[in-house]
Amino acid sequence: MDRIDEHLRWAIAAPVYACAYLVAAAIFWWMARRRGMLTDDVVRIMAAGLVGGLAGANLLQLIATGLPGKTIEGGILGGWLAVVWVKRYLGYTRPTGDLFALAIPAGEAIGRVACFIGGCCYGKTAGVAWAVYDHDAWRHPTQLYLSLAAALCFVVLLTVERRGILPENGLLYLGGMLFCIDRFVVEFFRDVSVTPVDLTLAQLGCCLGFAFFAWKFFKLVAPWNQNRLLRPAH
Amino acid sequence: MESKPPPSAGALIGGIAAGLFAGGIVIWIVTGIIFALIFQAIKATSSNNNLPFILNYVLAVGIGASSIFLRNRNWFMMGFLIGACIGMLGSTAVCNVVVTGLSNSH
Repeated sequence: MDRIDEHLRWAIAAPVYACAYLVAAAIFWWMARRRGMLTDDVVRIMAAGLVGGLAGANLLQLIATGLPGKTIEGGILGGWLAVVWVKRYLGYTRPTGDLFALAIPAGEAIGRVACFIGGCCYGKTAGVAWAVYDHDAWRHPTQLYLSLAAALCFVVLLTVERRGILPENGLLYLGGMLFCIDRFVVEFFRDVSVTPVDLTLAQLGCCLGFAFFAWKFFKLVAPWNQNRLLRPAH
Repeated sequence: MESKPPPSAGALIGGIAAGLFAGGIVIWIVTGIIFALIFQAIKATSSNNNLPFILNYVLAVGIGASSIFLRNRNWFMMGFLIGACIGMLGSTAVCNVVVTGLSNSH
């Protein structure tokens, strides 16, 4: 019976995951049109981001746990590497990070709901009023925490984008920092094993990720950067 | 010089949706049967190992990567290949059920 329940849950979750990918692709498209960048090459770069992201998500999970599955950290890393490689292959030089900056949290906000339905990425046992019954115990609904955090991140980035206050790629680095912060915090409520330094592997990754994005962001908006306020006209 | 029309969102998204379905169900079943037959032939079982997953992972990434190199502005086909890749990588359970069921039936 539990096995049937599990299959049923995943059967319901699968279309929600599919919806997350479609929404992310649609937002990428909207951003590309808004920035006047909707060309054949940019569509190929989007394809590379999607395929590289999925490949990285699956590969890192397999390396880290030895089991099939996906991890968003691997997705971001794989997507990044694939985009860099394809841009070199196509000879495309204009920054494209901002096109992914809004698509990633929008996709995650929906994808985490699918995690909640499917029953993966669950939280620690808890006695809070909003706890949910999953894996034989009342637990923190950490999938929904992550979904809410991603939605909030999307709203913040959209507001910044509409005000046009950051140079190109600024939105990506800001989004990266916000992602690392929210994932670091929510990890304290997830039911995962910790490393000898009392942090999970994902939290250690978030520390490294935050340092990287903060460094890139600082370099971009630093007073000595001559191009910090320049953004090509739409 | 005549400028190219912008890429077609409808064709691409339609292709992704069709590819998701094909990659999530049909391709998994077809490749699952092929892998099961191979496993039967070499008297190996797929239980407790990741071989079907790894083989299909390589296949899915190959299908997805090929979308990047399409040069004929066939947006539906590009979307289809991306969707098939997403569908295949997202539904490992279907393939594992098929491979395990068939290859262990001898």
